Amino acid sequence: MAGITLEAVTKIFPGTTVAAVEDLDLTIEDGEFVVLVGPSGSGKTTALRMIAGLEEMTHGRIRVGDRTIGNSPPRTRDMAMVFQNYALYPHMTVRDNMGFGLKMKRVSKQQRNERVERVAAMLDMSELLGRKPKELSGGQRQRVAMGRAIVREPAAFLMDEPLSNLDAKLRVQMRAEIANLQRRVSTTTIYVTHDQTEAMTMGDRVAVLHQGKLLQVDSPQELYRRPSNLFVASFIGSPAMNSMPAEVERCGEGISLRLAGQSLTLPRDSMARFPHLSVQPGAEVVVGIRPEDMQDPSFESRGDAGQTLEMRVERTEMLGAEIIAYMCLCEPDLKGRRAHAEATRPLGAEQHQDRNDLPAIFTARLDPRSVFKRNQIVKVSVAVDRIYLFDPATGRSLG
Amino acid sequence: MPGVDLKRGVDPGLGEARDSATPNVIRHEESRLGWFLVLPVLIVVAVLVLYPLGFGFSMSLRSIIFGSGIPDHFVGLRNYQDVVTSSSTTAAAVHTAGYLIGALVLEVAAGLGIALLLNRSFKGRGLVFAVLILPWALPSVVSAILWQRLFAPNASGLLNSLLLDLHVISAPHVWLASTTSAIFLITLLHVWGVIPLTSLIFLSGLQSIPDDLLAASAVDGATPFRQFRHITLPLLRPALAVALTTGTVVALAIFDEIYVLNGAALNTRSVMMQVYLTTFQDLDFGHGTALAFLLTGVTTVFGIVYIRGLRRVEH
Amino acid sequence: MTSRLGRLLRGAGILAILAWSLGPILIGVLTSISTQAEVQATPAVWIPKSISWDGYRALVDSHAGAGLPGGTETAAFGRAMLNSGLVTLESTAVILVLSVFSGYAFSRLRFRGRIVVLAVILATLTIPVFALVAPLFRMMAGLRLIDTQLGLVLIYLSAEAPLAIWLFYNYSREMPREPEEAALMDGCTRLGAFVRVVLPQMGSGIAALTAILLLATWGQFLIPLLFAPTLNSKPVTVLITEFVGKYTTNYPLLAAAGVLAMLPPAVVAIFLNRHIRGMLSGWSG
Repeated sequence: MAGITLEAVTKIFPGTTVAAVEDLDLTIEDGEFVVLVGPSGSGKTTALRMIAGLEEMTHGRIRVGDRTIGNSPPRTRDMAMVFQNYALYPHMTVRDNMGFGLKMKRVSKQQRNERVERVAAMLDMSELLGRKPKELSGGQRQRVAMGRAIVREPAAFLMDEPLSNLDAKLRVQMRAEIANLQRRVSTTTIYVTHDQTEAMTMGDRVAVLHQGKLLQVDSPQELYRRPSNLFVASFIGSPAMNSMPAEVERCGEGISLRLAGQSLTLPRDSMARFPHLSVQPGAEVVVGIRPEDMQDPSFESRGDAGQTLEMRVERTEMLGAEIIAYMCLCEPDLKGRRAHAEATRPLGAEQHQDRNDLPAIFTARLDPRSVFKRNQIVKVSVAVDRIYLFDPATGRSLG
Repeated sequence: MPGVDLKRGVDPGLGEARDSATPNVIRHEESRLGWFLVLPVLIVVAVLVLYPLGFGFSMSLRSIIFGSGIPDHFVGLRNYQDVVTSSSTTAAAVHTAGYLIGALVLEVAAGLGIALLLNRSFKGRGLVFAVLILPWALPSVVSAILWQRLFAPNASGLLNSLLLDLHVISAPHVWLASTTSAIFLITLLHVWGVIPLTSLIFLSGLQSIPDDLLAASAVDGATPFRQFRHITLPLLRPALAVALTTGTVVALAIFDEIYVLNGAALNTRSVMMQVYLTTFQDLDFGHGTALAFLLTGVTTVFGIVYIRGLRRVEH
Repeated sequence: MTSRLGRLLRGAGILAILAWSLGPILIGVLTSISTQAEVQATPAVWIPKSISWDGYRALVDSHAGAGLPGGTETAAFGRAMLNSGLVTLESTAVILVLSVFSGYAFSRLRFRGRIVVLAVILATLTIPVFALVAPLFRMMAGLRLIDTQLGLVLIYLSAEAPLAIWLFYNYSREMPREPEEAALMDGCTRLGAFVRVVLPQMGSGIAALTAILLLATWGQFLIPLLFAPTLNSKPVTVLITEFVGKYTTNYPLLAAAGVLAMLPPAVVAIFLNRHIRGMLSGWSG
């Protein structure tokens, strides 16, 4: 068992000029569970495959413990991988699948069987040992793939979207199971996923990648509370953070933001919270507000309904414990015109890009007793002390 | 940048295999195994295809007639000129064109029809497939032997007997004596062995058409005929290109069926038969190889035309 | 079109396919068990009254090949069948190994020059064997390989290997990559992963290619017509055509020879038909 260190790891696929992974620096402690998360094309799988030795680095350095493993073949790296489609050996029984790695290490047959049986018992699948992969359900295959990795007692587990082929219910169950298993065997684990929920629930730390670059590595809480830039802020959290361009104005000792003709005044300590904020007249920022920081003023639990924005309710979804409301922050004269078409537009992480010329749709998590109705113009209270500000040019957090 | 081999930087890539720019252990191991596995094939192709190809071309530029007592000598393109202007080549080319056109029409029509019939699954389809494939699996000379009694020239020949019974003809026909009927019947025998392949090509084309597309157009009110005309047919273009190319390659090389049914008879000689006779009966290797190379050229041109033409229409 | 009418037409169509495909074979079988008198009767007798084995007997015991070059003592037909079988098995084995190895290598391994070599081999697909027959004949004559099994195997290699490589390259490309990568992670070398994990998964492709090569080789005619002049190596396809000249109107004997020569490929086609279909569909890919 060992920690893994990546130094300036870069991959440029031949025939392309853009790096699939660019100067990736990442240190993973011994026994740590680190999740690489990002949308497709972010380079996360390529990074994992370079650690595995299935893909060569264009340049950079990878160290495992105190060994430097340049571009050595996978078999010398002592790592086990769990693949998205499990990659079981179709012609072998579960027992042989799990024991294959040990066989390659010339572990005696008796020892091999003992270890396979022990792990099978641990994963509660002893009765499957005699079966072939095609006789197993998706969940069982997943378990065998995990077992095959665990039996080898490798220096690290590498997992490439191992849950994405399971149905939703099983995925939630296996999520917990894998996280528990990892804690039990405490083997260094690198886990790749595009699903931020998976990343947040499983990882000790989460590394967010976008377009081949590592944007931020932090614990899930930190990542959520202090995103280093707009991409991380919108990618982490569901529903995604609302973001919109605004103008900054000085307002006495505090700061006021003008968005679409309305204004929000930030608390006095804001200058300290946003050390990188420039308050030149006309300075622009991108404002980020988490859906849970917007509330129906009647149910504002903190008794501070002072800061509000006037919005038009486009659509509400009653989820029982809360109401998800989609609301349009429109200029008064624009109200209701283009807004309707906009309400049906899917809300994604990239939505901030074309915010400028479209009425902004905000998502809010409202108290279930809220009586906001479709097409109603309402006042929405905003927790201004938890607002995020980003540089509109670089996307970097101003906090 | 240390470790970057600029020469390897750009690699068009074939298939999905990935390439890398860093020479290293992984690559070295792969490279060694790759060459190890490929080298025998490369040697085979070099010695048994490329070398004879070059050798053959040089033969086509020389006058080589065994037993003539005349020593080999270089004649340039004269062999080509001779065979192009010879009347026996013209006759053989006309016959071959007949075989080709007949074969392509029958193969495309029957292949498409069979593919449409077998596209939807039904009980016993596997069995029908097994039977369908049989004519393709049999050696063409064996097929010719099986068909021979059908074409027998007297009244006990099966085709004659059948047509006499039906009063289509009044006297037995010597089928293989008249050019038209002989070429038609030999073509029929030829396509008997090729249609199974054509059907499978069209069938895999049909199966690559997403069901959703047809369902969607049915919802939009398209009749089955219009569906076929506006969705199925255009999407079958690639399959058609493959079927035409395959059909042309085998039809231009037609030999076995003619050899068995009608030997070297003048009225059915194909270009391939002419190549055979020139080279191995007359022992005139120069003219024989020149004609063979011309036939190769024509075959290649046809292939290129189909693939290009059908691809262009698609856009 | 009502669905009942549609179904009726479909049924008729399928019957027509069966009749078209099986008809000539059936006529051949019936002819082979007819007597000489029956095949010469007017009007024709399609179905013989009783089974006559004359045609087969003539083939098996009567030195049907006697008088033909090389066919002196034993029945030439049996010898030719044996020649066909041996050369077919030998060529298939050699081409199979070459195309499985190289098809895998071209589709999976990255090595310098891969694309060039593959392109050269695929380009040779466009060269029909008849362009090479004359030079190959001169080469083989020089090497004294005319009328030997080795000579035939080499020429079949030239004629069939490029297509076999192309078919197996396509097949191999479609195979999932991950089990192989899993094997590499589990400690295999490249070769180890190929032998222990990739090859065992290629069963259906290998079966299909074997079947296609068996059929193609058994059916070769022009090549052995030139390269296998005597019964030392002469295959059944060539011998049969000699019967045509020799026993012009002995249809039962000819048909019996045809039926016997048809049996091995028919068995292969029927038993491996599913695999063959799969690979021939990949033809278009």
